Amino acid sequence: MVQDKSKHRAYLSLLLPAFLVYVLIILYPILMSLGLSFTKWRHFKMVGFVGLENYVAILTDPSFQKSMWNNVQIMLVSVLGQIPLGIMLAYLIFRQWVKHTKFFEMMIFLPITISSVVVALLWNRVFSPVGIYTSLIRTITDNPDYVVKIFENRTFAMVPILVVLLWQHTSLYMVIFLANLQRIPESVFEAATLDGAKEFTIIRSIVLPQLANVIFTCSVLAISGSLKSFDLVFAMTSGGPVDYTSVMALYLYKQTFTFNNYGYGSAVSIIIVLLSVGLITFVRYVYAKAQRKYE
Amino acid sequence: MRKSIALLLIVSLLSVSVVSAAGTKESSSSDGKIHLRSYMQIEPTNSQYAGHNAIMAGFAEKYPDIIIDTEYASGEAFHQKFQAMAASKQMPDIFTVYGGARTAYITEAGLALDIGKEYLTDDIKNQYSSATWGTQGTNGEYWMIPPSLAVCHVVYSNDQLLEKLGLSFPATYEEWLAQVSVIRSAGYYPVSMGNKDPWVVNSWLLSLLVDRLGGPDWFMKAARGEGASFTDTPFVRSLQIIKEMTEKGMFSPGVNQMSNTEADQEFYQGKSVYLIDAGWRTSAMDKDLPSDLKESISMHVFPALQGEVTTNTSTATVSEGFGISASIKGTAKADAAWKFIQYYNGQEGASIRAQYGEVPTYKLDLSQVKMSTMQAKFASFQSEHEMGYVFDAVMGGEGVSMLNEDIQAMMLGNGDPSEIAADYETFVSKNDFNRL
Amino acid sequence: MMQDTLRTQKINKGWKLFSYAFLIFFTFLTLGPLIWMTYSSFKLNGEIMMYPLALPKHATLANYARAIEFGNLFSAFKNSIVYSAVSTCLTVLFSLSAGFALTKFGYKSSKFYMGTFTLGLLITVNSVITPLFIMEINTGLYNTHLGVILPYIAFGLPMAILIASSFIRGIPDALIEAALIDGAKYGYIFFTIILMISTPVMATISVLTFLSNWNEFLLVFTLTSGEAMRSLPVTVNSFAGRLNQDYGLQFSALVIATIPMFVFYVIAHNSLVKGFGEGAIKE
Repeated sequence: MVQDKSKHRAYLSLLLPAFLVYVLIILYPILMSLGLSFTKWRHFKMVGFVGLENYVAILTDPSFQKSMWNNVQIMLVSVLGQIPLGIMLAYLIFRQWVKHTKFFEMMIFLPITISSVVVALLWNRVFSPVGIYTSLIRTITDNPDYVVKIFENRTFAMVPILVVLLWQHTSLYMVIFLANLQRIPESVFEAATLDGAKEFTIIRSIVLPQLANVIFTCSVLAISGSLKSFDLVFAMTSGGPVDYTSVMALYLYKQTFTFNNYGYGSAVSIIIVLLSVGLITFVRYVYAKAQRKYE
Repeated sequence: MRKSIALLLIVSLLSVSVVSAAGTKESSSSDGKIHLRSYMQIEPTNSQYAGHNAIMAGFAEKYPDIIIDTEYASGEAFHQKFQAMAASKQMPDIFTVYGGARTAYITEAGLALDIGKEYLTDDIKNQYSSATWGTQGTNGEYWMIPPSLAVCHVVYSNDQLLEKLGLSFPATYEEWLAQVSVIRSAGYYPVSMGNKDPWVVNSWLLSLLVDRLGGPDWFMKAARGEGASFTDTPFVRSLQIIKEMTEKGMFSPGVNQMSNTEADQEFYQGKSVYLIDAGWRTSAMDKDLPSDLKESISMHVFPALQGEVTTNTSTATVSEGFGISASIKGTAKADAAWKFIQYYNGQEGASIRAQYGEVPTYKLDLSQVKMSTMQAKFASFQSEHEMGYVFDAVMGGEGVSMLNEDIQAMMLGNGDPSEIAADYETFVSKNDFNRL
Repeated sequence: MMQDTLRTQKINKGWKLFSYAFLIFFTFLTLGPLIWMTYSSFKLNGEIMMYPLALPKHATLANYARAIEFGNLFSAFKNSIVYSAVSTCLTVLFSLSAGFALTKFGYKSSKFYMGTFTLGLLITVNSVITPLFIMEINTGLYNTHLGVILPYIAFGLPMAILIASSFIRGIPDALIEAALIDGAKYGYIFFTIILMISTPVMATISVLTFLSNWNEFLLVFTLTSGEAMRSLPVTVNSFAGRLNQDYGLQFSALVIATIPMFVFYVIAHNSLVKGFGEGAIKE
């Protein structure tokens, strides 16, 4: 009895600091947002209760739909691009296919320490109409009218941003995979090589299964990160031109701070949260199924 | 390991003490002085505001009993935080406010003091140029005294290039269009304009076209919906001209990708013959350019258009100034704030600003002031051209935002002028505060 | 020795070439612009605009002088350190204690708490910024160091708890039971056993948290006012105004802001990898 009580007290006192801060700063405002999402605002005053009207307006707005599609693109690149690339780089370094692995490791991790503002600025200097790349191409092809056209294409305007995101975030996954690769016992590799296995086989039947858990966790992180994307996109294009590179978080930002539609903006954040929960649950389901298949 | 735990504990303790020590801002009024909080959209490091710091120092010296605690913010972040301040009723005593719609979220919510009623007299008004007193509030209120005019349309020309190409500044729009092939075959771009942020084409071009084709009276009527609307010819034709300019190759290829600074860069590097930019760019030009380049830049306006109602005009809006919080109305604090505003805009402030290259609204004898190259050109520019309205200073922000994006889409090839005009008119008639 | 040869045995030239090419390209892509930005910061803005690529003709420290003077960069730097360091320490402490509680106590409610924390991964700062602002004004936390530190901790917790739980779960239960049998209290166990063993994860969480807090902008900007409380990113952003851009000034401010992160990373690099290796994210 006494054991249980003091155990319970210990449990709470260990848990509470984190939980309290979290509830105060995040949960409570989100719940407030939920409430607010059913209202309409004007001049900083709530002027009405509009039920689901905000949600309907958002989901039928082509601008929001485009933003959402852009987020999906980011997500696909993250899960299908950054993670495999991270694995590949980690493997490359792990197997020491090049010398100076320490140096290259550091170089690959460097992008994530640079703030998005710097990244956007430098990127601009290279690819903008007055940038280095553009000037180079103009001189080489003798075509003074060259600009990087992809920025102006509604369907593909996200591509440059996706490339930069790839560059920025792959390193994080690389570090995680590298560390986990190093936990695979040496003996496993020895045995496989002695058996004459080719590189590809090693990767497919040994490395990947061992990393499966980690891949799952990283996917979850990647999905949640991509739905939240804001800093880099904001710094690079602010969602422009028009709304070609808008993302949901930017859409939220515009609604809340440019148009003062707190109710509307709150509804957007709730939608983002719901989407994320949905997606992650889906991934969990897929993963559980795959796991069962291999066991 | 004991050490690292101890370290952790010490740091946590330290943090608590640091935390409690810092962050106490409220100054007491027990020292007999008046403390004012201000929030300004000014970047003290920006050459455009070079005179500002001098004025703050001068004011502190003249009025030692008034202490102003200033917070600076710039760009969008300023508005963001300002709105949060308004939402929580934590208004500063003095703040940057726009005459027009940009800070409607403050003025329409009744948070700014009407200094027209409280403090302005005809005497005071006469000390300023007539352009200063354009309408601010919808009921004739005045929120601030504009320190200067923000000229929003200038066509800069690189005269060295013009001479080299055997051209001169065109007298009509058609002439200008004809110059395009000459310029391009010589390997240059005609016009640089940085429309990455789509308000640029609106502020710096569309407003001018609307003013020329419709005139200020028509514009105000359309804004208020009194017998005119945005589906009328002046507005539609203005959009058509922008489309035509784009299609005929007037702009350098990156017009919708470049920020204004990048467009400036293109022009400075001698890659284009003309630059459409605002009047206040002259202060940066003075700072950054070598003198031979400065000597060869002249300032013009858009050439004559067929069927134009006004001629040789530019557009300007009163630049933003300082307003007073409505919540301190009638108190000593408000009077102190008014003293500050008088100082900033009146004799002392205006002379300081003139020295640093700003053309103040206060009537000063500028011949006594030594101005830098571009600033001198800017000063004469202002006296040579009448000023029309700037679109986004009058119309509500949400609608203008939508319009700007539509124009940008049109420039990229996805949009039709009549449709855009119709969409805008529909939006405005339902939502714009001018119509209500 | 034997291991090395086995490892490096089966590499064919194609892979090697490809790897080198890729890594060198990546390095160039990463370092190139940074180097350019650095030497450009010694040029005045006019020169940058007219001759962007050239090395400085009249190298000058003027940009740095103005940036430091007008931007109060030393004070901003100090603030950044306070915000990042304090919130990182507390995040580490709280996440480890919560991680311990949620993995080793076996209560059913743990699942609920875990789920709630994971939800935090999905919340963007933008969604809570306005209610947070209003809340801080009403409780007097506005414009205090604590007012920034608390949100930093809150946003860092989800990831940190994820990492911490994963790791602590791997600590053998036997250790804890043995200590309990010896009559130790849970709190004591936490401070002596858990914290002692968790040093690798502590390093990982510290690096990640510090990193994201150092570069953070929106929270500091909204929740503080006035120069005294500003952090580096906020100050740097004030040089990047949209109306008139002085690149020289901007670059010098950015160089000053980026160097600490770089130095910190070089130093902390090892601990970071070690932390992940010891099981920071393995399930």
